Amino acid sequence: MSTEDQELLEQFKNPETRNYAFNLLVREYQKRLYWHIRKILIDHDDTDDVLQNVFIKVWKNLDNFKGDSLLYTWLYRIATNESITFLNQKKKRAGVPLDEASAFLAANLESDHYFKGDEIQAKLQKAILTLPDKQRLVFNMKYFDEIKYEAMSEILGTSVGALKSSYHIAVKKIEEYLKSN
Amino acid sequence: MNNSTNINEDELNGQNKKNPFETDNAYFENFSSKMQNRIDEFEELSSIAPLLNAIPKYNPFETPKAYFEELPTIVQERVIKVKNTVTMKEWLIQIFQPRFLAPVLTVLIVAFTGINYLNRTTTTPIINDEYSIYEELEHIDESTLIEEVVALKTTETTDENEQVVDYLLENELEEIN
Repeated sequence: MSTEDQELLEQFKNPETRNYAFNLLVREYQKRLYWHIRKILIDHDDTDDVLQNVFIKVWKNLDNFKGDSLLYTWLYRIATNESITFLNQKKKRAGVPLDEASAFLAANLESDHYFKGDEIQAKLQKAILTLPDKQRLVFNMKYFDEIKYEAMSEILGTSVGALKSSYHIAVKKIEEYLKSN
Repeated sequence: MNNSTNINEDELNGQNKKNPFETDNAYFENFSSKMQNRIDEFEELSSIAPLLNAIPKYNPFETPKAYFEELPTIVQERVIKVKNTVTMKEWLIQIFQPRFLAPVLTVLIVAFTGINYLNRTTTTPIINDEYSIYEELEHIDESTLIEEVVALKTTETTDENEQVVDYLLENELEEIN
């Protein structure tokens, strides 16, 4: 764990500096977590809901964080779990099978006011949305966020080998989609 | 040049010229392997996915204006609400703390005793008329009853009178006249 994170945790444990430390944590990690969630859920409002819930969970559970992993991998894990749970609930409500999100999220993408990409970016995003949730997650984390496989392994609880293979398959699928469209 | 500038230059010249910046100890040891990994990944990507590789890599999504400036305040407000909301679990834990245990138990015992007392004293109303008359008769003096029956002897016998007679008979009062 980094010295900054350690200091932050110590400040959080002190009731007098607890709010200040939490505010620092939110400011430090909000962007990274937001973009991580946004790539899963696509829609800004959904992302905002989930991100706020993630921070509330962090507030409630930070005292129990033992520092066995890096703080940011712990935060990413919470954000990933919350996002997947939210997505599955939304799919259930919409009557979409849990393993099928493509059309559902593509509709989100088309109605998203905060998408500023050009045609080719839109096509790439649609290609990414054809991937199963877990594969999509691995692709986004590796391709856009450039997170190391070791860190991803900690966040997702999957072996490095499986992640590498998942990323490789995802890249091939996306390439195929781009070729055929 | 004035004196003070000369002093500063002298001081600077006298300083041990040392790089004030530092890196992680393993940074340079790992640098070449990191670079090699990046090159491998790039080459792999360009060989298996040339179309994907040709797409400029940037984040195509936006947020509303000032979203990240406002979010910490919104989160803090929600945290305050959460802190003020006592969940059922926390409430139960609080109640069963030693300092609250005695008053809570007292209230429970008083409530239990009260309910028990009310259940005992509140009897179900007797709707059986026959039983009701027998109950009433038990509290009336027997000679009064005999007088009453004699007085009614000449009048038409009612169900109620028959019940009075039955009662007297059961209590071994054969002679009523």
